Amino acid sequence: MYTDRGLYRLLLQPPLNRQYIKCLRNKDLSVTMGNIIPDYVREFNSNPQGAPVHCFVPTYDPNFGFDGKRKEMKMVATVEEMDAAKIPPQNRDFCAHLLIEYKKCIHLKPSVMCSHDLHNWDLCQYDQSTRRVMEYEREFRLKQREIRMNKKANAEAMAA
Amino acid sequence: MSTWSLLAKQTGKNMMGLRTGMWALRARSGGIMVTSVRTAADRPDPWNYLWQPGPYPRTQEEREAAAKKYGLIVEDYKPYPDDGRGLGDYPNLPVRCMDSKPGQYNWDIPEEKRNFGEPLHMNFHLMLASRPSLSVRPRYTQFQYLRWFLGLISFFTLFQLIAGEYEWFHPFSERQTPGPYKKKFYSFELE
Repeated sequence: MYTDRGLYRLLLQPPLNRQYIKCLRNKDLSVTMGNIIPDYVREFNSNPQGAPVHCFVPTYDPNFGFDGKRKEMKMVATVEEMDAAKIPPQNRDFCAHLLIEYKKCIHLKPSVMCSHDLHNWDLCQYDQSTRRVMEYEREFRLKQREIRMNKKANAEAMAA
Repeated sequence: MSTWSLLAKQTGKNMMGLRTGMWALRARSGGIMVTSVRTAADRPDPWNYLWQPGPYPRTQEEREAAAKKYGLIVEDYKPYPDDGRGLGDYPNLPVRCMDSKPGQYNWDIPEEKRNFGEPLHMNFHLMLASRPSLSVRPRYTQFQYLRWFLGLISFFTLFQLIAGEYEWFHPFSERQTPGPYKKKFYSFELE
Protein backbone atom coordinates (compact mmCIF):
# COMPACT_ATOMS: atom_id res chain seq x y z
CA MET A 1 0.00 0.00 0.00
CA TYR A 2 1.39 3.34 -1.02
CA THR A 3 0.84 5.69 1.90
CA ASP A 4 2.50 8.60 0.12
CA ARG A 5 -0.02 8.65 -2.71
CA GLY A 6 -3.31 10.47 -3.07
CA LEU A 7 -4.85 12.17 -0.09
CA TYR A 8 -2.41 10.50 2.32
CA ARG A 9 0.19 12.92 1.05
CA LEU A 10 -1.68 15.74 2.78
CA LEU A 11 -1.33 13.94 6.12
CA LEU A 12 2.38 13.38 5.59
CA GLN A 13 3.10 16.99 4.66
CA PRO A 14 4.64 19.26 7.27
CA PRO A 15 2.37 22.08 8.55
CA LEU A 16 2.11 25.20 6.41
CA ASN A 17 4.84 27.77 6.63
CA ARG A 18 3.37 30.60 8.65
CA GLN A 19 6.32 32.96 8.36
CA TYR A 20 4.20 35.62 6.67
CA ILE A 21 1.57 35.50 9.41
CA LYS A 22 4.29 35.69 12.05
CA CYS A 23 5.46 38.87 10.37
CA LEU A 24 1.96 40.33 10.70
CA ARG A 25 1.86 39.30 14.35
CA ASN A 26 4.74 41.63 15.14
CA LYS A 27 4.47 42.74 18.74
CA ASP A 28 5.14 46.36 17.82
CA LEU A 29 2.08 46.38 15.55
CA SER A 30 -0.27 44.35 17.74
CA VAL A 31 -3.22 46.52 18.61
CA THR A 32 -3.11 45.56 22.26
CA MET A 33 0.51 46.75 22.55
CA GLY A 34 1.44 43.76 24.65
CA ASN A 35 -1.48 43.65 27.07
CA ILE A 36 -5.05 42.43 27.30
CA ILE A 37 -6.27 45.95 28.09
CA PRO A 38 -3.68 48.25 26.54
CA ASP A 39 -2.17 51.17 28.41
CA TYR A 40 -3.55 53.80 26.10
CA VAL A 41 -7.11 52.44 26.46
CA ARG A 42 -6.80 52.43 30.24
CA GLU A 43 -5.33 55.91 30.15
CA PHE A 44 -8.03 57.22 27.82
CA ASN A 45 -10.83 55.79 29.97
CA SER A 46 -9.42 57.20 33.21
CA ASN A 47 -8.24 60.52 31.75
CA PRO A 48 -9.39 61.37 28.18
CA GLN A 49 -6.87 64.23 27.95
CA GLY A 50 -3.97 61.84 28.57
CA ALA A 51 -4.25 59.73 25.40
CA PRO A 52 -5.12 60.59 21.78
CA VAL A 53 -8.31 59.14 20.29
CA HIS A 54 -8.50 56.81 17.30
CA CYS A 55 -7.57 58.54 14.02
CA PHE A 56 -6.40 61.72 15.76
CA VAL A 57 -4.56 64.54 13.96
CA PRO A 58 -1.01 64.96 15.34
CA THR A 59 -0.70 68.18 17.36
CA TYR A 60 3.02 68.31 18.21
CA ASP A 61 5.83 69.51 15.98
CA PRO A 62 6.77 66.55 13.74
CA ASN A 63 10.52 67.14 14.21
CA PHE A 64 10.38 67.63 17.99
CA GLY A 65 12.70 65.21 19.79
CA PHE A 66 14.54 64.08 16.65
CA ASP A 67 18.21 64.67 15.87
CA GLY A 68 17.44 66.06 12.44
CA LYS A 69 14.54 66.65 10.11
CA ARG A 70 12.17 63.83 9.30
CA LYS A 71 11.70 62.77 5.69
CA GLU A 72 8.50 64.01 4.15
CA MET A 73 6.35 61.36 2.46
CA LYS A 74 6.11 61.82 -1.30
CA MET A 75 3.05 61.08 -3.33
CA VAL A 76 4.10 59.15 -6.45
CA ALA A 77 0.77 58.81 -8.24
CA THR A 78 -0.84 61.95 -9.62
CA VAL A 79 -4.49 62.83 -9.25
CA GLU A 80 -5.08 62.26 -12.96
CA GLU A 81 -3.62 58.74 -12.76
CA MET A 82 -5.72 57.92 -9.72
CA ASP A 83 -8.84 59.28 -11.40
CA ALA A 84 -8.11 57.20 -14.49
CA ALA A 85 -7.60 54.05 -12.37
CA LYS A 86 -10.74 54.80 -10.32
CA ILE A 87 -8.90 54.66 -6.99
CA PRO A 88 -11.39 55.31 -4.17
CA PRO A 89 -10.60 58.23 -1.81
CA GLN A 90 -9.67 55.99 1.12
CA ASN A 91 -6.90 54.41 -0.99
CA ARG A 92 -5.42 57.67 -2.32
CA ASP A 93 -2.49 57.42 0.02
CA PHE A 94 1.27 56.95 -0.45
CA CYS A 95 0.67 53.40 -1.74
CA ALA A 96 -1.68 54.45 -4.52
CA HIS A 97 0.94 54.01 -7.25
CA LEU A 98 1.36 50.34 -6.24
CA LEU A 99 -2.38 49.85 -6.29
CA ILE A 100 -2.51 51.36 -9.76
CA GLU A 101 0.18 48.92 -10.87
CA TYR A 102 -1.79 46.03 -9.46
CA LYS A 103 -4.99 47.19 -11.13
CA LYS A 104 -3.15 47.57 -14.41
CA CYS A 105 -1.77 44.05 -14.03
CA ILE A 106 -5.12 42.40 -13.34
CA HIS A 107 -6.56 44.29 -16.28
CA LEU A 108 -3.99 42.79 -18.63
CA LYS A 109 -3.35 39.37 -17.07
CA PRO A 110 -5.16 36.77 -14.99
CA SER A 111 -5.27 37.99 -11.41
CA VAL A 112 -3.32 34.98 -10.09
CA MET A 113 -0.29 36.25 -12.04
CA CYS A 114 -0.41 39.59 -10.19
CA SER A 115 0.28 38.36 -6.67
CA HIS A 116 3.68 40.09 -6.74
CA ASP A 117 2.11 43.51 -7.28
CA LEU A 118 -0.58 42.79 -4.72
CA HIS A 119 2.07 41.79 -2.21
CA ASN A 120 4.02 44.97 -2.90
CA TRP A 121 0.92 47.05 -2.21
CA ASP A 122 0.20 44.99 0.90
CA LEU A 123 3.67 45.59 2.29
CA CYS A 124 3.33 49.32 1.60
CA GLN A 125 0.04 49.35 3.51
CA TYR A 126 1.69 47.45 6.33
CA ASP A 127 4.43 50.08 6.55
CA GLN A 128 1.82 52.79 6.55
CA SER A 129 -0.06 51.12 9.41
CA THR A 130 3.20 50.82 11.30
CA ARG A 131 3.81 54.53 10.77
CA ARG A 132 0.35 55.37 12.02
CA VAL A 133 0.79 53.26 15.15
CA MET A 134 4.19 54.87 15.75
CA GLU A 135 2.59 58.27 15.39
CA TYR A 136 0.05 57.27 17.99
CA GLU A 137 2.73 56.05 20.38
CA ARG A 138 4.71 59.27 19.88
CA GLU A 139 1.66 61.45 20.58
CA PHE A 140 0.77 59.34 23.61
CA ARG A 141 4.25 59.63 25.11
CA LEU A 142 4.48 63.36 24.44
CA LYS A 143 1.11 63.91 26.10
CA GLN A 144 2.20 61.90 29.12
CA ARG A 145 5.41 63.91 29.22
CA GLU A 146 3.46 67.16 29.14
CA ILE A 147 1.24 66.00 32.00
CA ARG A 148 4.26 64.96 34.03
CA MET A 149 5.98 68.33 33.42
CA ASN A 150 2.83 70.24 34.37
CA LYS A 151 2.51 68.24 37.59
CA LYS A 152 6.13 68.91 38.47
CA ALA A 153 5.74 72.60 37.77
CA ASN A 154 2.61 72.75 39.91
CA ALA A 155 4.34 70.95 42.77
CA GLU A 156 7.27 73.35 42.59
CA ALA A 157 4.94 76.32 42.52
CA MET A 158 3.07 74.96 45.57
CA ALA A 159 6.35 74.37 47.41
CA ALA A 160 7.63 77.85 46.60
CA MET B 1 -52.61 58.07 -9.32
CA SER B 2 -51.35 54.74 -10.63
CA THR B 3 -48.84 54.01 -13.33
CA TRP B 4 -51.57 52.62 -15.55
CA SER B 5 -53.67 55.76 -15.39
CA LEU B 6 -50.60 57.92 -16.06
CA LEU B 7 -49.83 55.78 -19.10
CA ALA B 8 -53.44 56.09 -20.25
CA LYS B 9 -53.28 59.89 -19.99
CA GLN B 10 -50.07 60.00 -21.97
CA THR B 11 -51.23 57.69 -24.74
CA GLY B 12 -54.86 58.77 -24.71
CA LYS B 13 -55.96 55.39 -26.06
CA ASN B 14 -59.35 54.00 -25.26
CA MET B 15 -58.06 50.50 -24.62
CA MET B 16 -55.68 51.71 -21.95
CA GLY B 17 -58.47 53.52 -20.17
CA LEU B 18 -60.57 50.40 -20.19
CA ARG B 19 -57.76 48.35 -18.75
CA THR B 20 -57.22 50.94 -16.02
CA GLY B 21 -60.88 50.82 -15.08
CA MET B 22 -60.82 47.06 -14.88
CA TRP B 23 -57.70 47.18 -12.73
CA ALA B 24 -59.28 49.69 -10.33
CA LEU B 25 -62.45 47.61 -10.03
CA ARG B 26 -60.47 44.49 -9.34
CA ALA B 27 -58.31 46.21 -6.77
CA ARG B 28 -61.06 48.01 -4.85
CA SER B 29 -64.10 45.79 -4.95
CA GLY B 30 -62.81 42.43 -6.16
CA GLY B 31 -64.00 40.42 -3.19
CA ILE B 32 -67.45 42.02 -3.17
CA MET B 33 -67.85 41.42 -6.90
CA VAL B 34 -66.96 37.75 -6.58
CA THR B 35 -69.34 37.13 -3.67
CA SER B 36 -72.18 39.00 -5.31
CA VAL B 37 -71.75 36.97 -8.48
CA ARG B 38 -71.76 33.74 -6.51
CA THR B 39 -74.86 34.55 -4.49
CA ALA B 40 -76.65 35.77 -7.56
CA ALA B 41 -75.82 32.61 -9.53
CA ASP B 42 -76.77 30.22 -6.67
CA ARG B 43 -74.04 27.92 -7.81
CA PRO B 44 -72.72 25.99 -5.99
CA ASP B 45 -75.68 25.56 -3.67
CA PRO B 46 -75.27 26.85 -0.13
CA TRP B 47 -73.82 23.98 1.85
CA ASN B 48 -72.51 25.45 5.12
CA TYR B 49 -75.54 24.43 7.20
CA LEU B 50 -75.06 20.81 6.16
CA TRP B 51 -71.78 20.71 8.11
CA GLN B 52 -73.07 22.48 11.18
CA PRO B 53 -73.01 20.33 14.33
CA GLY B 54 -76.35 19.37 15.77
CA PRO B 55 -77.60 20.29 19.23
CA TYR B 56 -75.81 18.91 22.29
CA PRO B 57 -77.00 15.30 22.94
CA ARG B 58 -78.84 14.98 26.25
CA THR B 59 -80.33 11.47 26.13
CA GLN B 60 -78.75 8.11 25.27
CA GLU B 61 -80.68 7.95 22.00
CA GLU B 62 -79.38 11.33 20.96
CA ARG B 63 -75.86 10.23 21.80
CA GLU B 64 -76.23 7.08 19.71
CA ALA B 65 -77.62 9.09 16.80
CA ALA B 66 -74.78 11.58 17.01
CA ALA B 67 -72.17 8.78 17.16
CA LYS B 68 -73.67 7.16 14.09
CA LYS B 69 -73.72 10.51 12.30
CA TYR B 70 -69.97 10.99 12.89
CA GLY B 71 -69.12 7.32 12.11
CA LEU B 72 -68.12 6.39 15.65
CA ILE B 73 -69.20 3.71 18.11
CA VAL B 74 -71.02 4.96 21.21
CA GLU B 75 -68.14 3.99 23.50
CA ASP B 76 -65.74 6.21 21.52
CA TYR B 77 -68.15 9.11 21.18
CA LYS B 78 -67.57 11.89 23.68
CA PRO B 79 -68.93 15.40 22.90
CA TYR B 80 -67.32 18.63 23.96
CA PRO B 81 -68.75 20.12 27.15
CA ASP B 82 -71.80 22.29 26.59
CA ASP B 83 -70.13 25.48 27.82
CA GLY B 84 -71.60 27.92 25.32
CA ARG B 85 -68.93 27.59 22.66
CA GLY B 86 -71.54 26.30 20.24
CA LEU B 87 -69.71 23.06 19.39
CA GLY B 88 -72.93 21.09 19.85
CA ASP B 89 -72.57 17.36 19.32
CA TYR B 90 -69.20 17.47 17.60
CA PRO B 91 -67.02 14.64 19.01
CA ASN B 92 -64.03 15.38 21.23
CA LEU B 93 -61.45 13.25 19.41
CA PRO B 94 -57.96 12.40 20.66
CA VAL B 95 -55.10 14.59 19.41
CA ARG B 96 -53.20 12.77 16.68
CA CYS B 97 -50.72 14.81 14.67
CA MET B 98 -49.46 13.73 11.26
CA ASP B 99 -45.99 12.79 12.51
CA SER B 100 -47.52 10.20 14.83
CA LYS B 101 -49.40 8.50 11.96
CA PRO B 102 -47.61 5.84 9.88
CA GLY B 103 -46.43 7.04 6.49
CA GLN B 104 -46.28 3.56 4.85
CA TYR B 105 -49.96 2.83 5.50
CA ASN B 106 -52.14 2.98 2.38
CA TRP B 107 -54.18 6.03 3.28
CA ASP B 108 -57.12 7.09 1.14
CA ILE B 109 -55.83 10.67 1.34
CA PRO B 110 -52.06 10.32 1.73
CA GLU B 111 -51.47 14.09 1.74
CA GLU B 112 -53.35 14.38 5.02
CA LYS B 113 -52.74 10.80 6.23
CA ARG B 114 -56.43 10.06 6.75
CA ASN B 115 -59.11 7.78 5.32
CA PHE B 116 -62.33 8.69 3.63
CA GLY B 117 -65.19 9.23 6.06
CA GLU B 118 -62.89 9.44 9.06
CA PRO B 119 -64.07 11.96 11.68
CA LEU B 120 -61.74 14.90 11.93
CA HIS B 121 -60.56 16.60 15.06
CA MET B 122 -61.95 20.09 15.50
CA ASN B 123 -58.41 21.52 15.20
CA PHE B 124 -57.35 19.18 12.42
CA HIS B 125 -55.85 22.10 10.50
CA LEU B 126 -53.39 22.56 13.37
CA MET B 127 -52.20 18.93 13.06
CA LEU B 128 -51.19 18.98 9.40
CA ALA B 129 -47.61 18.29 8.42
CA SER B 130 -46.88 21.99 7.90
CA ARG B 131 -47.60 22.58 11.58
CA PRO B 132 -45.19 21.91 14.46
CA SER B 133 -45.31 18.26 15.44
CA LEU B 134 -47.10 17.44 18.70
CA SER B 135 -45.50 14.02 19.08
CA VAL B 136 -41.99 15.35 19.70
CA ARG B 137 -41.02 15.57 23.33
CA PRO B 138 -38.86 18.70 23.85
CA ARG B 139 -35.43 18.12 25.29
CA TYR B 140 -35.86 20.68 28.06
CA THR B 141 -38.88 21.91 29.94
CA GLN B 142 -40.43 25.27 29.16
CA PHE B 143 -39.16 26.63 32.47
CA GLN B 144 -35.60 25.63 31.54
CA TYR B 145 -35.91 27.35 28.17
CA LEU B 146 -37.21 30.49 29.86
CA ARG B 147 -34.41 30.38 32.41
CA TRP B 148 -31.75 30.11 29.72
CA PHE B 149 -33.34 32.84 27.62
CA LEU B 150 -33.62 35.32 30.48
CA GLY B 151 -30.17 34.39 31.77
CA LEU B 152 -28.43 34.97 28.46
CA ILE B 153 -30.37 38.17 27.74
CA SER B 154 -29.61 39.60 31.15
CA PHE B 155 -25.95 38.57 30.92
CA PHE B 156 -25.43 40.35 27.60
CA THR B 157 -27.47 43.35 28.75
CA LEU B 158 -25.42 43.69 31.92
CA PHE B 159 -22.18 43.25 29.98
CA GLN B 160 -23.23 45.95 27.52
CA LEU B 161 -24.31 48.30 30.30
CA ILE B 162 -20.97 47.93 32.08
CA ALA B 163 -18.57 47.63 29.13
CA GLY B 164 -20.42 50.22 27.04
CA GLU B 165 -19.29 52.92 29.48
CA TYR B 166 -15.68 52.43 28.38
CA GLU B 167 -13.95 53.25 25.11
CA TRP B 168 -11.97 50.66 23.18
CA PHE B 169 -10.12 51.57 20.02
CA HIS B 170 -7.01 50.76 18.02
CA PRO B 171 -3.88 52.90 18.32
CA PHE B 172 -3.84 54.59 14.92
CA SER B 173 -3.31 58.18 13.89
CA GLU B 174 -5.31 59.66 11.02
CA ARG B 175 -5.38 58.06 7.57
CA GLN B 176 -2.37 59.20 5.57
CA THR B 177 -4.21 60.51 2.53
CA PRO B 178 -2.80 63.89 1.41
CA GLY B 179 -6.02 64.94 -0.28
CA PRO B 180 -6.56 68.00 -2.48
CA TYR B 181 -4.90 70.35 0.05
CA LYS B 182 -1.58 68.41 -0.03
CA LYS B 183 -1.49 67.62 3.68
CA LYS B 184 2.02 66.82 4.90
CA PHE B 185 3.01 63.49 6.44
CA TYR B 186 6.41 62.46 7.71
CA SER B 187 8.32 59.22 7.74
CA PHE B 188 10.27 58.19 10.84
CA GLU B 189 13.52 58.23 8.86
CA LEU B 190 15.80 61.26 9.02
CA GLU B 191 16.87 63.21 5.96
